[in-house]
Amino acid sequence: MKLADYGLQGGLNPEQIRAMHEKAMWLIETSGIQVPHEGVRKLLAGHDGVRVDKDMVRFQPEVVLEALKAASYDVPEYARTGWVMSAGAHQTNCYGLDSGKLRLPTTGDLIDFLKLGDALDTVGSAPVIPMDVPVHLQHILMHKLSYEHTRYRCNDIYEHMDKPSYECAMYVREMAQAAGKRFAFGIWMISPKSFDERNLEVAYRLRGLGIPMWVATMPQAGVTAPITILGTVLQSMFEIFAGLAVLRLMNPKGNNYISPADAFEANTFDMKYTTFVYGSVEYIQHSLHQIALCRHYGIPLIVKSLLTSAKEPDAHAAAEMGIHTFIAALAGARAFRCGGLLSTGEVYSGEWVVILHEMIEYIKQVLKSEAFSEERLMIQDIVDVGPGGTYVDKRSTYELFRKEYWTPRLFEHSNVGQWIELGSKSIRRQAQELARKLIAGHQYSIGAEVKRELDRIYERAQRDPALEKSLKLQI
Amino acid sequence: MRLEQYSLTGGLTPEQIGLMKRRAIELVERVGLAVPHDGILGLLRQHDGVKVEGQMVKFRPELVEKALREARYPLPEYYGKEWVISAGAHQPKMHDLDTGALRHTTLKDLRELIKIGDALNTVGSAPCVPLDVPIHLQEIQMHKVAWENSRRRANDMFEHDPKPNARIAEYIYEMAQVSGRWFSLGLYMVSPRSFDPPELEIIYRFRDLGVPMWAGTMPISGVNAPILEKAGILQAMFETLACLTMLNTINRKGYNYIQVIDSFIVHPFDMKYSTFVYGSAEDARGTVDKLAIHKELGLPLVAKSLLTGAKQVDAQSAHEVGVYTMMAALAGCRTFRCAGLLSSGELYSAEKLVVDHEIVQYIRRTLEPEEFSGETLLAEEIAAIKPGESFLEHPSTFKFYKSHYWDPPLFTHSNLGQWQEMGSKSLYRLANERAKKLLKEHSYQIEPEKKRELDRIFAVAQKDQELARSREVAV
Repeated sequence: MKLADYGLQGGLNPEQIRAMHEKAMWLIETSGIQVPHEGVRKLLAGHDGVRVDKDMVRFQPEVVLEALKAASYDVPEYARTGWVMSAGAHQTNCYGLDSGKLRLPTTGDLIDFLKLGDALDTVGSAPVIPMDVPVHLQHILMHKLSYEHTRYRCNDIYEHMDKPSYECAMYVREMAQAAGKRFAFGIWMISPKSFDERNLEVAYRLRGLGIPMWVATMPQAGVTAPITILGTVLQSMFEIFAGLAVLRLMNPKGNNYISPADAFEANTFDMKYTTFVYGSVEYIQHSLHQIALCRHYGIPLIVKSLLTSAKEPDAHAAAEMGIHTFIAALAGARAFRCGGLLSTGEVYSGEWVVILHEMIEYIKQVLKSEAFSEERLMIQDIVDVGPGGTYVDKRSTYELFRKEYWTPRLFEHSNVGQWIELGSKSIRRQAQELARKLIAGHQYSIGAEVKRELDRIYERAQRDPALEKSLKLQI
Repeated sequence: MRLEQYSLTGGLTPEQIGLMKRRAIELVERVGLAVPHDGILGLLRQHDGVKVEGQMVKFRPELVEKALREARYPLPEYYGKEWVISAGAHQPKMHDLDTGALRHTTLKDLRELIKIGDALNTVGSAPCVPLDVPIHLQEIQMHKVAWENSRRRANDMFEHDPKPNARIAEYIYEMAQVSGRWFSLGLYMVSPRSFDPPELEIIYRFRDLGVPMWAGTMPISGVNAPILEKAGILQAMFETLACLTMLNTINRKGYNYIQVIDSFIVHPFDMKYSTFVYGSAEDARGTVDKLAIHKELGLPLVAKSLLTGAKQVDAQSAHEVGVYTMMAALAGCRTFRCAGLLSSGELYSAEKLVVDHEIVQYIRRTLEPEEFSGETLLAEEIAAIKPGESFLEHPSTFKFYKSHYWDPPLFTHSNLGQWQEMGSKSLYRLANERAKKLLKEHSYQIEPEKKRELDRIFAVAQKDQELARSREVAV
């Protein structure tokens, strides 16, 4: 007999989800979205169930339902069987692993953080932007180095790397093909109800290549969306459903899907500091709605639970991340986003990735399955060991003490005296040391032949005035 | 309509708990426990259903069931109405509030920590032992100072302050009577299946005073209890039920109950460091089992979820406290123990108390059910907004931006630049400043006439040579 695994009950029920679905469809049909790209509008105008009125586009529910039905999600094998930590969203500040000081990340940091993440089996986007590299080469280099130094990074549906121009996208695509890596293109909606014209232009030019495309949106409660979490989630549903319908009709040769990384995203916003607030109480409430909706629509679960508003890898960061990730895991999520990010994504920290990895291991232990039987009640042992006796020398103790109890790597069980004897090291210092050790011991690198091919493509990009111009225009 | 409240599913079922209870009662009848006290053995021999063989005592199941039925749990008025934090277990060391250095605790610390705790509405035992006070007066001072400077401390069934001998217990009893405070006597078993004779002596001497008495035990996994957690819990059930039955047999003028704070748990133990491991994944799971058993037996719910193996107020402490407390809260618990404690209870930290308080408020807010209605979905507002417009000036934003969002005192939502402008204060420093502010602003004091009575009794205790000798002998 097994104990029932722990889970979570409560939150949105099917009836409430149905009500939200109907409201979203009503908004798509009556209110519509702005498509600020003439070429895309022309493509849409020829389809049944689409009504184009100046730059506003409205869809019949059937068009949206078809797009939802057609979307497929190529979940990697490791995410079907294990827990996944995504650890990067191209940050522009980092804590130096040696000094602990805040600074701009370099190419060297990017490589170190990629190796560290790979050593911990992390996935997702590149951790930092190499600020010592010209702007037009940054995204290409982030992909190149991710491919060269990691197995999973920038290589599955959990990444959301920018390709800010068509030229940039084509270089990245060429590299992905050379390295046998995954390539997709994403469009971000601009709440309320619109798109970035340049983003649409890239998608428009890529549309004939059979490329997978995803859509995401980021409404902010009280700013670009209603003040309530549920209202913002509803707006998010409406916008991504409409965005998915646009992609489905514009990019028929490729698979079009909702980005699992930001599906039904509803950002909370602090009116006092005028900041995004990831890791807050209200953001957790949103995550639980997100999980319920993703499950309803068959979208893989990945929760942005590793993000915090704390500025350092401290108790604030750990409380937010631990509670958020734990309740998301209880709700069934096994993939978690934004490892290493602090200050709502402004800063990257290698030691924080190491600590987060430990935290997730802890949560796995809390939620592990357990057998229940009379044999495991060990009644005979209880009968045998009388007053003054001990279980230390029992065979069962010897055989089971390692199997039944987790030995953490960072969250040591020493007492104060032992800890002082071991150097009174703070958890942050231990994490820094472990991070450096993992980087030094990291082994993986892509095959030499592929590396040469990536170098060749990158050299060409370095000399390409069209690429440079394509990004200069946007600055 | 509100969303369904989130709650935990899984874990021990009523059938499994029923089986464990039956096996525990069988052990009480078949195996029994050692009672190394002639007076108590003499009392027990007079009762039907009690079998005394040398020091071993066995009880018929009817007596166990009777003891369970007759047990009373007089809950404080605040229980069930608010989230409760118990914040002390008489620690001998603390982090100095001014220097942060680790040092032994004094009478001044006791007074200050009680005041800080009172400012945060905490309950439970005294936070530290005043080691600058003669040993025979320490526990008396702990009660006196708690009653003088706090409303709830050492004043209900969530406390477990020691009364190491009958003489000390008599002074504390007298003080409780003059100040109108709670007094009970606890009997901790010594696992496996025995007692400490001096503790039995206190019980024996107080048996006719109508004093409430509670039964507790502390089995340790792999040491004085089986290595498997459920087996350890079974031993805890067996011992606790036997102890309760014994108390119910000999203390007929007072009511008896199962100590609610640590009942039905097996204390996790690390074989590498030979340490207790509170806050571990296994400890959290064990507490959820305890809560399930409490529900089945009708006991109040308390979780030792604010305890951690961490040595500092850091990511480890907050993660362990956060995950563990969220799990207990989802299981229905609203009273949480051991705030302020570090290193599995070796140290006290006012800063940790403040952070623990913040974590509990964070969890409380997270689990508040949201309203699901037209007013929170705000579909009409979404329909009315145009691309490029903002919700900032909407009436709903003004109406809800404060009530829908928590403004945390410590886990602030500033961005990196704002944080730097405000002095880049670490969370520890913020917590330290808050603790000092709470101490400075604390105003509660017991009524002057009660204070005079307490001073008078304490003055007698100070001159009591028999009291001084009683502790010397015990040492």
